[in-house]
Amino acid sequence: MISMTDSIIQLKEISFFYNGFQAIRGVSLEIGAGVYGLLGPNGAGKTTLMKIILGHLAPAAGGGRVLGTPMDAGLIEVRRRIGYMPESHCLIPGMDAVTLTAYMGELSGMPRQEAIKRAHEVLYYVGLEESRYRKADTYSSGMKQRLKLALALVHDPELMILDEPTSGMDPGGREEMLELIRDIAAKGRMNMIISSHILADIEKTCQQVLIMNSGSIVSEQHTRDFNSQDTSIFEVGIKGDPREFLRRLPKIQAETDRRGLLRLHLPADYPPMNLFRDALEAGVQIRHFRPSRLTLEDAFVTAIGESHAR
Amino acid sequence: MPVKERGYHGWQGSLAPRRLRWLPITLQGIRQVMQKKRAKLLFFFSAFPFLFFLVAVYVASKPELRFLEQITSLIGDDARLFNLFFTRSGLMFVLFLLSLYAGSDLISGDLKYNSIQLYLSRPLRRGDYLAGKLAVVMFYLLMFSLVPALLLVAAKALFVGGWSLSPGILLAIVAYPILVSLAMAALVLLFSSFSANTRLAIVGYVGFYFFTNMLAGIFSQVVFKNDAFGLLSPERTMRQMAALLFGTKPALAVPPWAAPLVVLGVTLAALGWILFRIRRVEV
Repeated sequence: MISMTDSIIQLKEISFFYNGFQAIRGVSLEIGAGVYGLLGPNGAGKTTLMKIILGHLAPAAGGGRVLGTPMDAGLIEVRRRIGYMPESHCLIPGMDAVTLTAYMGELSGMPRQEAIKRAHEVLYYVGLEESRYRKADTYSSGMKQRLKLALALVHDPELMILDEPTSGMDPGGREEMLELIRDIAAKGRMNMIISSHILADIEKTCQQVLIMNSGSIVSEQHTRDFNSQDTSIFEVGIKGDPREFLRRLPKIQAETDRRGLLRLHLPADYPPMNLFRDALEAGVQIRHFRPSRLTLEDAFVTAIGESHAR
Repeated sequence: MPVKERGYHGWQGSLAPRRLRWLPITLQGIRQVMQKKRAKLLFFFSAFPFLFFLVAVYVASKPELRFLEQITSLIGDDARLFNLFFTRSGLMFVLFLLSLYAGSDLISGDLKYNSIQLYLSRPLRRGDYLAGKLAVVMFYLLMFSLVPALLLVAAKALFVGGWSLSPGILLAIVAYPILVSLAMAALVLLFSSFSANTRLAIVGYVGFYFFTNMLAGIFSQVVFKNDAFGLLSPERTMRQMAALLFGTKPALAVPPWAAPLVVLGVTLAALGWILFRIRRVEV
């Protein structure tokens, strides 16, 4: 058992190849206690990284520790302390949810009677109490997602790895799933790594975000930094040709959003009111002026863009 | 108060490492086979070879039942009795049916429903998974081969009122059903691992069993007139192996090591293929 202050996962210069294609490129990271989000476009290497952490794939280079166990010592026993919720639907045919959940508990090392008792509890917890005696292969997509969460939870692991936990769920079900994840992390004091394509899910559940692209970690940020009012970013709507206006702002990072508004990142030594003066000199009118927020989407787009530029 | 209302609560127990990590897979598999449709009916008919031999052993032990000599003459000595029980009583066909019933869906079902990644997300190796599945089929095959053979040993001792079995025969009584069960379990799991469609696995296994029997007959007796081709048939190979173990006259004129070598080779090849197949499953 590791203490909350220890690193849950330490990876150093991990590389992995699929048939000669480098899927993971020298990833080094340290994941502490808490809930981490893993974001990235398709093919970024998120699932491969999770499989390396679970010990299903052996890295071609590099090493590290998972829950205090060195990767080169084999991670079979560490899986006893990990709850994994895979992205694809998986179940055992012909079994009802209670039997299946208890069986997974048993395989993790729980005594049979305890596993059965615990299976009822976790199925109640994830909202499958009414259908827990139904065959799992008759469940809807949303119910299968809940069941997978119960399977990952049954042995009360120290670390949960959730791959697309809200995939295939309707908006109501998705919200409930996120609520469950937040509750487990808070009340269970469980450490989690959540991989998702849905930025809002990560923003709502995670404390830290790791952004991956082309097999590398390209950004690591706190979610508390997002959506806080940032006094240095402004949305500006211009009437007239903005090029002359932007030429007068050489030190200011600017981008145009979907609505055609400029997002200007002002340096600390540039008073916002100077924008009006520069607009006047450039012969344009400022029709919209408002402090902006840094969203996870901004961070994601910026990080991916920067990684492509490199 | 329900857990959902009071929020998440952890489990207070401790997870114990298991020496036999595959055991829960086997126990669960055994329970699942028991719950299948018509399982009890199949088990009832599977006990017929044993019941017939039990009656024969009883009749042979009672001088007053000499008028049933037709039955007792079949039995002869212990080696002949158990050789007959294992190879000529219909037990081979019973074991084939049982392996088909218990094993044809064990891996194909897991392939269809992506279950293998559920297993491998637990502290299990691929070998543990295979051992667990193999043991499910072996359990049922041994229940209707080794267990009744041992019961026959006990019944004979009870009816005759003494122990006459030689250690060699006793060893053969234990070894033969274990070897046959292992080979049959490996074969049925091999067919089960070929496809996610259980029907295909059933058709493949049934086809293999009958086709190889037919082929062995045609090749060894008609086309090549060479007994070595008899080893193409699992049933004839098993009989040959039984003759070797029990020291009775073998039906095929082939070297004594040939049948065990074929059984071992086929079993190892089947297990190797299944492991290869499981390794290719995306976890």
